[in-house]
Amino acid sequence: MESEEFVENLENLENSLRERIDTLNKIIGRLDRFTKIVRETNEKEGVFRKSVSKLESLNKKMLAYFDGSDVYGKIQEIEQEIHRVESEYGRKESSLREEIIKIEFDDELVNKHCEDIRQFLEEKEKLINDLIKRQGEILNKFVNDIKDELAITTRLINTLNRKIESSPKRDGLKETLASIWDRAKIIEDDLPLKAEDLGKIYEKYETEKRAELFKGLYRETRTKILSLRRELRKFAVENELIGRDEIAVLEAVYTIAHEIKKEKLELEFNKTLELLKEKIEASDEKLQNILLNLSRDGFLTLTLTIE
Amino acid sequence: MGVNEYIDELCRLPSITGKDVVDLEKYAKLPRVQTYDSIKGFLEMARKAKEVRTLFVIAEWGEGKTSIYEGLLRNPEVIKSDLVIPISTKRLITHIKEKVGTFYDTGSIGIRFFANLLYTIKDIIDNDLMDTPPFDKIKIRPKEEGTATVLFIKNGLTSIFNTIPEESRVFLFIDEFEDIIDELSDIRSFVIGGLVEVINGYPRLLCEKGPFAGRLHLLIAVTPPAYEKLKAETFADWQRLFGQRAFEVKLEKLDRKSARDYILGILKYCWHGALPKIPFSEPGMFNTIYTATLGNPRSIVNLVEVLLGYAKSQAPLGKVKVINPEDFINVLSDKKITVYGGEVTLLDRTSLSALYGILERKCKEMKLEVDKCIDILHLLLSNLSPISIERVGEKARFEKKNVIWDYLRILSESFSELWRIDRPFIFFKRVVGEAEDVRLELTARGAPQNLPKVVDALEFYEFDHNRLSFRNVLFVPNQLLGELSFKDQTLFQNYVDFFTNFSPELGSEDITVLVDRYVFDKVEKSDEEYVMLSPAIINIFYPSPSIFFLDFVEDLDKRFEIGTKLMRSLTEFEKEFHSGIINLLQKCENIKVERHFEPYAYGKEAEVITLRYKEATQEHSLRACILPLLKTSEEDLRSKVDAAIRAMREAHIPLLMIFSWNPLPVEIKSVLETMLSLGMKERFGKVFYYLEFPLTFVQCQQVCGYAVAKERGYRVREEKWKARASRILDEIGFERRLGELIREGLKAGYTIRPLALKKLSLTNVPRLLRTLLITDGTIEERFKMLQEMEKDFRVYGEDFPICPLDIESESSFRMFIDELRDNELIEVKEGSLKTDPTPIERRILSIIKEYGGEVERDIINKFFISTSAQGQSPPSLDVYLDMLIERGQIESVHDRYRMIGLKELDDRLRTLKEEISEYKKRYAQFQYGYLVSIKRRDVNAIILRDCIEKIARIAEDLYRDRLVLDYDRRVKRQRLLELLANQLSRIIELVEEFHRIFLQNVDEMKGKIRALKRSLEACEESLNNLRLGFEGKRLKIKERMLIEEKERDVKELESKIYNREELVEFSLELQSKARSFDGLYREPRGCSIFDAKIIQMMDMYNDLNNIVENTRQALDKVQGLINDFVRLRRSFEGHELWSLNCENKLSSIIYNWIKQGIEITSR
Repeated sequence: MESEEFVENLENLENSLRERIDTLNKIIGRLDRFTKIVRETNEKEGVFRKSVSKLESLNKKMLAYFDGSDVYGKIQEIEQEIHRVESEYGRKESSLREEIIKIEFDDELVNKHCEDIRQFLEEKEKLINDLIKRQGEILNKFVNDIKDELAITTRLINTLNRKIESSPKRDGLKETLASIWDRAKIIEDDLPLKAEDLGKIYEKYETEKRAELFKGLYRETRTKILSLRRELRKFAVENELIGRDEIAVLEAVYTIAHEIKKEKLELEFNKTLELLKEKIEASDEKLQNILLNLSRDGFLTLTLTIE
Repeated sequence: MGVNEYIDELCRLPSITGKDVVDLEKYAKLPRVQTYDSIKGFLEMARKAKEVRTLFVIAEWGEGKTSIYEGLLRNPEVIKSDLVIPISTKRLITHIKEKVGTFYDTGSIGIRFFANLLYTIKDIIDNDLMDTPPFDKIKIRPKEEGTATVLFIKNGLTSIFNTIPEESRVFLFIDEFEDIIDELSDIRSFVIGGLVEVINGYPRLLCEKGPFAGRLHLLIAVTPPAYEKLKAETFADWQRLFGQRAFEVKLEKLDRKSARDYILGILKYCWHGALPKIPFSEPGMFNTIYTATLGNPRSIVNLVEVLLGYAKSQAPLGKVKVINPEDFINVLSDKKITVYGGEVTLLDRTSLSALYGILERKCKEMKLEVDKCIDILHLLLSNLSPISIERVGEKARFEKKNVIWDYLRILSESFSELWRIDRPFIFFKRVVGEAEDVRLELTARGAPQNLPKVVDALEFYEFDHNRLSFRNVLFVPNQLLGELSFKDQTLFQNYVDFFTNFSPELGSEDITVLVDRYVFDKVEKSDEEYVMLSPAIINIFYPSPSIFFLDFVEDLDKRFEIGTKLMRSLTEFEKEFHSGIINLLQKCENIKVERHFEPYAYGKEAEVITLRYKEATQEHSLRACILPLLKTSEEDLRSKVDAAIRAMREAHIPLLMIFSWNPLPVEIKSVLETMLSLGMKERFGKVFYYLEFPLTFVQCQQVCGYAVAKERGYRVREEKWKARASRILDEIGFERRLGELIREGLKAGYTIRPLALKKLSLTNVPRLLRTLLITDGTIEERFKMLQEMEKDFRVYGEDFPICPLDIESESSFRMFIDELRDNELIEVKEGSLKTDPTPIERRILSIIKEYGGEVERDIINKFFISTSAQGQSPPSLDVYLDMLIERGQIESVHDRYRMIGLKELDDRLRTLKEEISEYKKRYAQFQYGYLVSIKRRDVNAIILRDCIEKIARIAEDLYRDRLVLDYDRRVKRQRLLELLANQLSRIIELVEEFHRIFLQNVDEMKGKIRALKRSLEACEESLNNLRLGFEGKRLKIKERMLIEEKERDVKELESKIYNREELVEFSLELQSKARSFDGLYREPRGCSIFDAKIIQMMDMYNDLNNIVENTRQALDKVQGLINDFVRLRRSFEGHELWSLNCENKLSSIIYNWIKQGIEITSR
């Protein structure tokens, strides 16, 4: 059955088509704009969510690592801040959903909401960056402390190693000293130099199925270093490589040098004495004698400068 | 030289007019025995005959034809009771000229001629013989107006025959019949034709059972050339009549001896038979007279009269002086005489004076007497016979005999100095004994056949003792010619010339043998030497006409050498005769003769003579070849004629000009006539013609002489030759006869003259003829027929093959026809037109037929004499060729013309019929072919189908009638059909051309329409598929509907059929529209031609095309927009928005919101 006919001339058809094309063009323009704004918003939101997640993950590892250390509280503070951000994000979602249901679709409103979201995300991003920065500072400070201790230790080993050369028990001493050096090196290897290293160390522990050892690892590492130092002092003294006081002063001198970040310390004698006195409870004379002894035994050089 | 001698005075001088010929004949007998016997025999035969008998008496001028009447026919013993009526041909011609038209009541030329003859008889009887019985009783009454010619003849003859006994006959002696030769051809034809008819038996009164049967006969005196002419012009009749009703007799010639007797007879006549003594001192003078006159009787009488007149004047009263050598020379010096058609001067005074001068000088040098020397000269010059040295001495009164030789030597040296003739004398010895006895002895049985001729040459005469008669004397050369031929060739040649002058048929070897062996060795000779002038010297002073006429050869010895050679053996100079004739013709003042050679077959070439004859303001041009004939053997002539005719045919030369020594023998003419008209049927005329120019010996000798002189490098006086040549050309009537031939060619169709056209162009002549050939009746009727045909078939602005000329009115038609009539291309008699082929057309057909039915134009052209005149366009053969094409007699194929026969006509008709029938089928369903032509505001409409139908009917009718129609009628109707078919072809050509261009245009348009319709449909489909919302109905584009509607209109018009009246009615309006369509409109010669229906269709298609064009543009836009729309929709549907990966919570909320929102707003 033939359908009814609609007769129209070409001119009218042309006009009609033109109108439709105009409309279509406009719609497509809107689609383009929407696409752009949605894509941008989504990307921004994605970045935000990633930052939060990363922050939260590191913070959890720091809590485990520094467990039992002085800094643990600070890290807990950060943890609380993270929780707060996540809560606000959840609230934002809820409020947006509710609002949209309430209003009619409109291009301008789309823009406005997208702008709100953008502002929200930017604000939270600033906060997150702050927290990340705090995490980094904590990690850097405490890890550096350990690293300084290790450095003094290895310096002392090196000094003793040179002293052993002239000892008749040189071979036996060297072997002992090497064993101490190896243990110092193991400690150094387990140190997280930056935030990412902490994740890797965690994974390592996890892989080696000793994740429980990760918790409080910072405190354990400090203990190991002190233990090594005592063993080293004992070894030096017992093997008469150096006297007990002398090694204590030498350790203090190495610490001072480390603190002032100089490899080769050249200090005025009096100043030295002053700094040493802050570390060691001894008199000037004793300290002077020890220094002279150390100089005489070749552990340091006392230089007389005439003006 | 000697003492003057006188004798008694003569009684009378001889008449030079021949009036006293009867008396003269009593004394001076011409050798007429055979002639008279023949005439008598004829008379006897005629007396017994029941039809008219005719005897032609043939002789040169002055040989005594007229004397036949006086000397024989008036002799009662001969003529008995019969009546002889002498008639002068001149008088007869006068009557013919005056009485022209008097005898038109009869168609018989014989009766008309005899009526004129009777009038001439009446004139002669009434005026010349009124007192002569029985003529005084004859009263011929003139023809009364209104009475029949034959009655006039009957009454006239009755009055003649009433005066003579019942058994008596009438002989008409028609003298000087040669006079007709100088008359115009119509008179000549009438006389000759009439004469033949009379001999043939008209009027009937003179033969069978007529009242005067066998009672009237004719004797006609005529010169040889005229007689030959007569025979040639009446060839066929002559063949039949000669020997039965017509006879001939030739007068005998005088030889040396009979001339001597004739002269003696004249002298006796002068003294009434009582001649006291021969009034010439030397017997050789008789031979001198004979030599000077070449034996012509009239000239002999003339010379004797002059000499005697002088002798009488130089003598005392009652006396006559005997002519001595000096008198003889004085009287005849510078004397002009006419012999055998040529005038010669005897003893040229200038030559004589020159000779005297030299003799005088030489005699002084030699201390000899000049007078005696001149006396000897005169003696030798006046006495052309051997004279003994002793007698010469006596005559010169020399005391010492030997001194004569000194004088002869002086003479010899003088001749040599003056004329370079080294041997002026020939010497003889006298044969001892009676000449008659010796002759008998020498010519006895067993002697060579030619010996008598040699003996005749050697026979001279001397006075008898009382000088009243002669005694024959024989001489022989003084030495053996055989020996002489080795010792002295010049002298030997002189002897040869001596004999050949006497008997031209003798050759030099014959002469030597005959003279030496049969005469010299056999006779007893005197010791005495006889001297005579050599033929060379004789010819100087007594030139034969031939030698005389060779005066253009500057050196006399060369002249004589050539003259004698030619005289001896003319026939051996055919090659020279040929080149001489060419040269002769080139001397013709009014005729320019060009000679060239044309190859005509492998390795052959023909000598073609182009003659351009200027006659007043006209110039005629014709091709001819010449056939110079000197040989007399019939076999030789026949083979030459045969070869010439073959060459003529193959080299396409229409005219053969035969130059012959004497008229051609009748047998050869018969061969000529037969060969020239070979294969010619009644419907066709002669293709080849010939003109015969018989030349006398003298003329031949001059012609050859010139050629020989040039060939041998002799000095020639060109101006003299030119004068001689002009004379010969006049004598043979070359220009006159050529003129006659050209004029006769107008009737016979071989002469084309320019047409005198004022209104018509040359090309229009055959075109007009075409119109006349296919119409019938009077001019008015034909014009009406033309108008009818124009209505049915004419396309204005185009040539109309039926009537190619633009004839606007009956009067202009008549004017054109008058011009054709004035040019003798058609005849108009009592209002009706006769369109028979002209003689030229008939000749063209003959030529084509001659060459196997097909021939090139240039070849045909070669067969015509073209006549052009100043200020007139040149004559055009093409007009006549085109006329023949118009007549359907020939057709032209690549410049060749071919005859069309009945079979071809049939074939063509069949082809034509099939062609027309094919047209009929092809155009039966044809929806166009409404051809309209408009001239000014006059519309002619041709409907192709109707046109084919009409012509098909004509073809069917002709095909049905073809077998019962006569040829001319058949050709005429077929020609009309062919022309109509031509016109139909042209109409079809125009219609097809218009239709083809129309279809090209329409096909293109149809293609556009079809494509557009498809596009519109596709567009509809697209739009419908896009569902753009047409209220749920199927979209139909309005323009498509409009186009379909127009297409229906076109179809309706295409199937429409018009009649002529409708076409005429609306075509004028269409004219301006038609102009706008390239290729569908023509405007030749200011007329419009178009196919009315095609123009209407084109107009409609044009509208449709406009719609199509506009629609196409609009549709293109719409289609572009549809494409844009589709593309955009596809962009919308495939937009990336719809597939964005939006995993984050806030963004996802916004994204979903947008999607929902767009979906809602895009609906």
